[in-house]
Amino acid sequence: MALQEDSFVGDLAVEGMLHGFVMRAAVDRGEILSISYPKVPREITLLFPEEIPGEPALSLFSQRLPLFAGRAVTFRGEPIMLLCGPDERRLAELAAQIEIRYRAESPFSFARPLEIQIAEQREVLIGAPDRAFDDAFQIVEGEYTTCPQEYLVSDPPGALVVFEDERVVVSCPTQWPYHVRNVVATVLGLPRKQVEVRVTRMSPPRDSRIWFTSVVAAQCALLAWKTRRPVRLLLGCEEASSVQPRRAPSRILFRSALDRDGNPTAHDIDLAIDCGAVPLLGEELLERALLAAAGPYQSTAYRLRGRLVTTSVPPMDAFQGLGLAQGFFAAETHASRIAELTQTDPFTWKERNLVKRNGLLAGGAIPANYPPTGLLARTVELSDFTRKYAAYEMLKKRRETIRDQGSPLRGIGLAVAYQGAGFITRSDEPDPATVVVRLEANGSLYIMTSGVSPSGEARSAWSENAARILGIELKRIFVSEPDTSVVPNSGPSTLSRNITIIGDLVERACETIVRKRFRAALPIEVKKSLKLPRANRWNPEEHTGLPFDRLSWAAAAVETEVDPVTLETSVRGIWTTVSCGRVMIESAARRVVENGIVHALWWCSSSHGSQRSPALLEFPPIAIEFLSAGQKGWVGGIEELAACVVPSAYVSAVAQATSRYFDTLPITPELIHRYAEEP
Amino acid sequence: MNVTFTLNGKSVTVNTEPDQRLVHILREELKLVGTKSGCYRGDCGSCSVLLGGEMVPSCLVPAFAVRGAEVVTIEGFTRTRDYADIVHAFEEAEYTPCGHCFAGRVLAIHSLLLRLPSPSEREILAGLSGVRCQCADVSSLLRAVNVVAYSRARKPHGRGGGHP
Repeated sequence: MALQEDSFVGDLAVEGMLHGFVMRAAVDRGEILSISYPKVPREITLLFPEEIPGEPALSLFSQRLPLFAGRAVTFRGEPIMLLCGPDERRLAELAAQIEIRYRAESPFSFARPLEIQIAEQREVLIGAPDRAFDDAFQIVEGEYTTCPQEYLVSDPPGALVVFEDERVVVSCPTQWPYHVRNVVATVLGLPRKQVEVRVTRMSPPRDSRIWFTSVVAAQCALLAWKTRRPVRLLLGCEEASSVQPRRAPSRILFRSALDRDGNPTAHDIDLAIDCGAVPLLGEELLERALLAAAGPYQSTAYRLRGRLVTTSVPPMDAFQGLGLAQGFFAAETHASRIAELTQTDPFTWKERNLVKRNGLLAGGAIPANYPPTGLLARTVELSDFTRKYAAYEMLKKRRETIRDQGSPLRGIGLAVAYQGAGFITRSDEPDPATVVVRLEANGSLYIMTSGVSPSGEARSAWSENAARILGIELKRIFVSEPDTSVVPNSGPSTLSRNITIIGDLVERACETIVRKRFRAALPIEVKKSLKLPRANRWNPEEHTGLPFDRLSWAAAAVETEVDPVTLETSVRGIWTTVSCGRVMIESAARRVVENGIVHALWWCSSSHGSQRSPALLEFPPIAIEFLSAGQKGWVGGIEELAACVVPSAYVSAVAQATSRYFDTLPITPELIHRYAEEP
Repeated sequence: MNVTFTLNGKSVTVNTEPDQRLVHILREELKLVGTKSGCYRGDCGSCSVLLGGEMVPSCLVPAFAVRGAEVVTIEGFTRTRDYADIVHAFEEAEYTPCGHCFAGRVLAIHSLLLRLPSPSEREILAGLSGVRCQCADVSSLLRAVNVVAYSRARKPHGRGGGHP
């Protein structure tokens, strides 16, 4: 098979290849009563779950996702059976004639969950919140909800599987090649070393391909196993949009006790996360959402309650941030509400309460590093926040109704948040992340990692760092393709993890080579694996210790204008200040933050189901400033920051523009209309 | 039915269903995978080709509509100097489309600059809005278009030219 270096999986084709097709459940929840189908043409093959030679499920840490519905359907779009054949049209025609009868049951909803839907719950008590509430000068309550965020699919998910002698070769766009290898091997009942995974080109996946590609690859592998022919399975754009995991919806209730100056003394936070049919990555999701909901501010007492709710929708995913964005949306929108109710400028309130050096984060955790002085102030300066905020407050007070066209409906919001690195340390393997770096006798350097870098930023960063440490020309540094037969397991790849964890391992390996260089014979090969920190280990039950290895911080101001006639919101500008340690390649970092802002805005404003990338005309002016930390030292992740700061700033801006209090995502013209009509 | 048309300067005949999508013919039958398949709704622009010189989403063009027509895909367009101008500008502006939208972006810039040799920022955004991709890096894209427009304005004969 000739695999072109930069081919998307849909571009790959081999002689005699068959096309795969997945029959999916057409009900949200229920039981399959019967499956009937017409005479199957010879060239078409059907595959039912009972034919699977190995384990018919995907494992991810302690969770297990069945690959097929079996008799019980747990979400719409759940795979029921597979088909393959040489002609896609004929396949679709046959699929249309397959009749599946169901006994439909009421779907599990997130709005009113039953006891059996609770997959996990956690409660953390810090200090004495009850006493703080008894002594409170003022108590502020709020409820904050976020909708699911869909991935914008550019290139469809898929896989091509070829049986080559004793090996199974899987080509697919994945962020975790070793996970694909393990799942395919388990499903086929083969030793892992018999499965080889090659990563194909993909658009920036935004963490949509951490485990989902493993599902598609396993289905494709089953068809290839049954037919002993190469099979390519590509999901259509709409199919992918309906069954791909999404950012998990959330509902977070806040009660905050305030002292006489409007500063918080205690928070009572009740958080629920919709994890879909199976809580894959649910533990991380819940933990991060709780941490973020507790906010970036200082306080002394907390009651934190969190629940993972299973529902009749496809399993949710890490998306970018694994719950941080949902938590910060609630925390920051609530902070802006407190500022407004205590008649304080949001900048003043947030600056005053933001965690200070030697303080603990709200929620009890130790921050790995503190927000730099001037983070909020610089954002305020860049956006002219204070003047605009005061002017828009004035306009708001003079305006009688939202339909009053005498003055523009403008508002500005401000938010601050962090992104952590080094949180996912669980692994099915003994070493959660390993890289190998080899200096050859001819002076070339090879970096071997299964870390996938779809946009190339991480690969450039690893190479430039190695070049700097070892004094080798960039053109003599090679990063191996993430092929499981060649590279070690570096765990799941996200841009942040690639830059922080994998980047650190590459750096440490290069430093070891520097020490060995003139003492040992070439080639020198160094292997480095992630080791968990010994001190201040994070205790999720008590919320003590260090949850993240390091924190990047960002603040954003968002200015919006609402059209008084159509009630559509346009963004007049976004100003972001980022502190992420050393910025390795500024143009690339800027691109990542800008792209994150665009996706965050899309989450803020698009209604569920409108699977469509924003048009260029919808892109607002964006200013990004990095607070420089020099050329040495730690490097932090940045890709999740925009999703953590932009939504709450956006909502606060729309609230100021419309004189209505918003606490939910998305904000659509229909929602503004509904709120405007309320007395 | 047999459909004969000019593809990247050469006459080709394919035997296909009359309603087969042009993108399918290009990718699956003629193996020209530079044209990507995306939404199949004409929304994303990743399947863009030039049909009679006009940029169209090939997912919405049925086979019968290309009989006798002239079709240029990104593979054909790469042989032109116009393409070289655009790719050079991408490098200069550090604009790196994800690959899936590459053909659409290149052909959209080409079509835009044929209509408006020195477009304003808003005209660029409007002209390129037919290609929607999640990788959009707007600042660099704007810079890239301006670099092409500027370099063409400085050339004695404007465009690089050289259609296949």
